[in-house]
Amino acid sequence: MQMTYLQAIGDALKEEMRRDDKILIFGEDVAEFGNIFGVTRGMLEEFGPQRVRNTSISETAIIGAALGAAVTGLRPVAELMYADFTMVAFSELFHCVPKWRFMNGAEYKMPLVVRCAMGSSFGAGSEHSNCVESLFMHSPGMTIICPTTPYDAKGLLKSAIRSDNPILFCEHKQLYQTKGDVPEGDYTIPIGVADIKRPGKDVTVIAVGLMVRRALEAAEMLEKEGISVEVIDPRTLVPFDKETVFNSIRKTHHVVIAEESNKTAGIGAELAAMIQEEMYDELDGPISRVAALDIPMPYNITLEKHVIPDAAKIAQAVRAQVERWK
Amino acid sequence: MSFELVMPRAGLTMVEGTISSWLVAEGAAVKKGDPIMEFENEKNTIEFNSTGDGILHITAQEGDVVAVGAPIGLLAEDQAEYDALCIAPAAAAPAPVEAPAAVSEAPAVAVVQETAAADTGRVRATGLAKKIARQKGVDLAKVQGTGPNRRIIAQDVLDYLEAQKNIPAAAPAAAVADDVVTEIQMTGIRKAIAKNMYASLQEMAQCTAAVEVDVTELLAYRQKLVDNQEYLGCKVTVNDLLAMATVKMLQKHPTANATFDGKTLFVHSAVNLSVAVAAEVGLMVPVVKNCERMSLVQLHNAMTDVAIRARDQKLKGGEQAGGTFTISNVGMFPIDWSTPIINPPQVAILGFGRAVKKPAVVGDEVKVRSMMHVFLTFDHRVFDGLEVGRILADMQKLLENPELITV
Repeated sequence: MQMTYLQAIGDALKEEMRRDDKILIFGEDVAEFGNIFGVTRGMLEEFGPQRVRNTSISETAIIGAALGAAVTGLRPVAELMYADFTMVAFSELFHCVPKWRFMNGAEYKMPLVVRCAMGSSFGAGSEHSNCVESLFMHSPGMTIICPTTPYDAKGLLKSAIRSDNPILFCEHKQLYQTKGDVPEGDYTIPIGVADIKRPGKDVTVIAVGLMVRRALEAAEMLEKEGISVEVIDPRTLVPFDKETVFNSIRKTHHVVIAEESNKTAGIGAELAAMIQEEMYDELDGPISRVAALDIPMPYNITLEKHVIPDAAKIAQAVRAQVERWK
Repeated sequence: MSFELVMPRAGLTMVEGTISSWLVAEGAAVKKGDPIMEFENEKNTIEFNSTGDGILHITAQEGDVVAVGAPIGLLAEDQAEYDALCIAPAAAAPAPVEAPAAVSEAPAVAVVQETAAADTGRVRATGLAKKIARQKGVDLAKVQGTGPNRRIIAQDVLDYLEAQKNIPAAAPAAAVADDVVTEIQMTGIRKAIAKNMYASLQEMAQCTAAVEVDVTELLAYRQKLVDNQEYLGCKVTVNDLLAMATVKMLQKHPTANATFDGKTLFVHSAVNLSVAVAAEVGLMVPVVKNCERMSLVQLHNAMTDVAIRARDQKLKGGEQAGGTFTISNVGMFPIDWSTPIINPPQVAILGFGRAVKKPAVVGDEVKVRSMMHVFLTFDHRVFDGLEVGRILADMQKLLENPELITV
């Protein structure tokens, strides 16, 4: 069945809430308004104000309440609207949510999902366009999921809600209206398993979030030039599916990492470092990173487009991987 | 900003010029219009006038063939910029015209000539290329890099291997049996000997000294022992007597009965004699231990035992180890003397040549005597001519007065 990414997320939430009445949703404008993108539309009517609650505009309070609910037996799905607002609750999200399970022993569960909308969305500017995954990759204990298709979004959100570990679930704003095939009925996708979105043999492109689509576009262009690109979508950044990536590198020996966030100390920095440590003898050249320019995101759409990698930039990085000295 | 000087086009047909000489020195301040260089094209020698002002940094040297328009030097605005130019990598390196030509003449798979190592002395290769090279035993210095920055990539190593495969295949077709080369791989004993001998000459300061000894008496003494072989239970050889004499000598010269690791000299009380045995498979050097405790007959028996087993390749593990001194007797061959190579970590080796009847001066008369050369190669790091002279003097005394050997 064809549906949008947004519908797939909404369906996952509804189906899980029907299955388990310990699951509740709260965040800014999630009740009557049904979330600014429409993800939770109709849920207040179906599940009532006890389980679908609007909060004040205080991210600290949202996450503080959510983690309290999680450790005392409920299964909250908190929503932070824009991923940028995780910064307002940074202490809770960086210290308490990921670390408390380690700090307090095995009986202390943290079945908390924090949903947020991330990435650029045509002129949202430097405080509403961020991708924050790399910040939380630095805090051990946080599971980080960033689905890129309706199928992945639904299956992974269900797994996230059923997990007893804290999860940061990053939804890309530009993907909400994209469509894809989603099977009827209940299914889950395991956390920590990457997906090869396109098989290829010359260069491995590890693409995150919106960059998966752009990498696929680039692969399409490069195929005409005789370069075969394998596009891997990690889907889960933490825990990271090394095996799928390593198997791909054993085949291609070339790696490009494409991400939407800033290059310095980003996802690509971590992955490239890890890959060269563990796969040095399989690499036939340096790993390259394609990422946003290291500047605050301009609100001007033309400039924004220039800052974020597009298919052409990814393609250029791939070509450079297989280029020969002339 | 530095100013680039390029090879000018002197004449419509000129495509390249050869730099004959620089008229000013590297680092000189030049002005626009100054004659600073002379070059040749197909027709003439032409003076090159500076096209700018500044401090000259030469990038194309005398004799270089430079394409028209390619850089020959840079002019720096000031001293600081000049210093920076001198340490910077030659971004504006001359573009000698030969290089592209050589590439076009090279086979599809270029094998050697210009390597990644050539530019910097360091081989640049990817992890995967290094892994394959390691697995296939390829010397990366011989592989041409075609990756970014001329880095050697995996495909370069594979191309090199492919090209190597083709070379022996092509050779027999071209040459019809003027020379048939048989490849004999250095394996087993031969390989071990090669390594040991090479290491020996690499590591030590070896020097050989020789003395000619009158062995007439020695041969007579030996004949007497042979005459009594039933009583002795064995037929004593000249070699037995030479070995016994060596043992006697070593007891007087303990620094020769030693091993050396480059820092410490280990002087041994036991004389463990390494005896060079020429076997078909190669030189064997079994060790006869504690010779200092043996009578001549015991020494004979021990040496005969190891010599036979060495020839038959029946030496046990460790029987060639632990020697403190080596003797090498080449007297069965028409060899008067040689310069034997020390068996490391020992510090000396004593050789014996053939015994030859020749005129010799005895007293003031010329007589026919049996003469033999005794030659000692010693590690000059360990001892000097003084000790060597004494060793050879004692050997001479022992061999010329053979009754001393068995005392």
